Amino acid sequence: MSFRIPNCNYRCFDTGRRGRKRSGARSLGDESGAAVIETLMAMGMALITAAFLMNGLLMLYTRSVIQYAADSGARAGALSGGTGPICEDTAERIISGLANLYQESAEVDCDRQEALTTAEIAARLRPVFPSLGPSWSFTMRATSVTEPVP
Amino acid sequence: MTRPAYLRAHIADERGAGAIDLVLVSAFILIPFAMLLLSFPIRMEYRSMTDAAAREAVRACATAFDPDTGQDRAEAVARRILAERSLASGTPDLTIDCRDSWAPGGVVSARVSLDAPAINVMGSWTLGSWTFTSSYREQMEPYRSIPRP
Repeated sequence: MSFRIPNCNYRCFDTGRRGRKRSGARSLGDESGAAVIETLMAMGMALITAAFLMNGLLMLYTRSVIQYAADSGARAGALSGGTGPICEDTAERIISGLANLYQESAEVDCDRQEALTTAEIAARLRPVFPSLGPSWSFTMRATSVTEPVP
Repeated sequence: MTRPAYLRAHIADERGAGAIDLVLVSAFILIPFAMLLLSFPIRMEYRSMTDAAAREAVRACATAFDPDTGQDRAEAVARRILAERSLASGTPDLTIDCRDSWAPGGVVSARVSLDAPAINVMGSWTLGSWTFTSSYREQMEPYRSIPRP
C-alpha cells in the first residue's frame, strides 16, 4: 500500500529550517532577494517624500518672500514722499530678486491713502516639479501707517 | 513545557518585517516629521503678522497728533493687520500704551498676543494651539511740532 504526500515542504523538527524542495521551482515563502526589493521600495518612498517636502517648503518660502515684499512695499509707500508706484516698484524688486524662480505670476497693487497705505499681491506659484502637485494661488496683504505731513 | 524548536524559529522568523517597518516608520516618524517641517513657515508667518501689528500700532500712535486719536488708530490698525492676512486665529489681545506715554520724546509701546494653531500645514490642516506674542516700542519725535487743540 502506498501513500501520496501532497506537500513536501517540511521543517526540520530540531532546527526549524525548511528542507529543499525537490522541484526546481521556488516556493512562495522563499524570501531570497526580498531585501533588495524592500530597500528599493523604501528608498523610492523616501525620495518621493523628500521631493514633496522640498516642493512644499519652497512654496512656503516663496509665500514668505511675497509677504515680505508686501510689507516692504507698504512701508516704502507710506513714507513721506512715498507714492503708489514707489510701493509697487519696491515690492516687485523684492519678488524678482528673491522669488523669481518659483513664482508663476505676481500682481502688485498699492493704494496710498491719507491714513493708511496698503499693498496687495496676488501670486501664483508653480511646483518645482510639475508632477508634484498643482500650482498654488493666494493673495498677501500688508498695511502701513502713512506718515502724516503737518 | 518548552516550545518546540520549529515554533521558536517561526516566531523569530522575520518574514514581512520590511512591510511592517515601512508602515510604522511612515506613521510614527516620516509623516509627523513632514507635518512639523511644513508647519514651521506658517508659524513664522504668524510671528511676522503679530510683529507687523505691534509695529504699525506703535507707529500709528507715535505719528498721531493727540493721544486719544493715536490710541484709537493704533487699535484699529492692529486689528486690521491681524484680520487682513488669511490665517486662522483666535481673538487677539491688544495692549497699547498710547494715552499715558504720548508726548514728544516719549516712548510708546504695544503688545499683541494671538492664539493660533500650533501646527498648520500650508493652511489646510491645523492642530493644537499656540500663543504668539510680539512687543514693540518706539520713541516719539522729540522736536516734532504738535498742533495745539
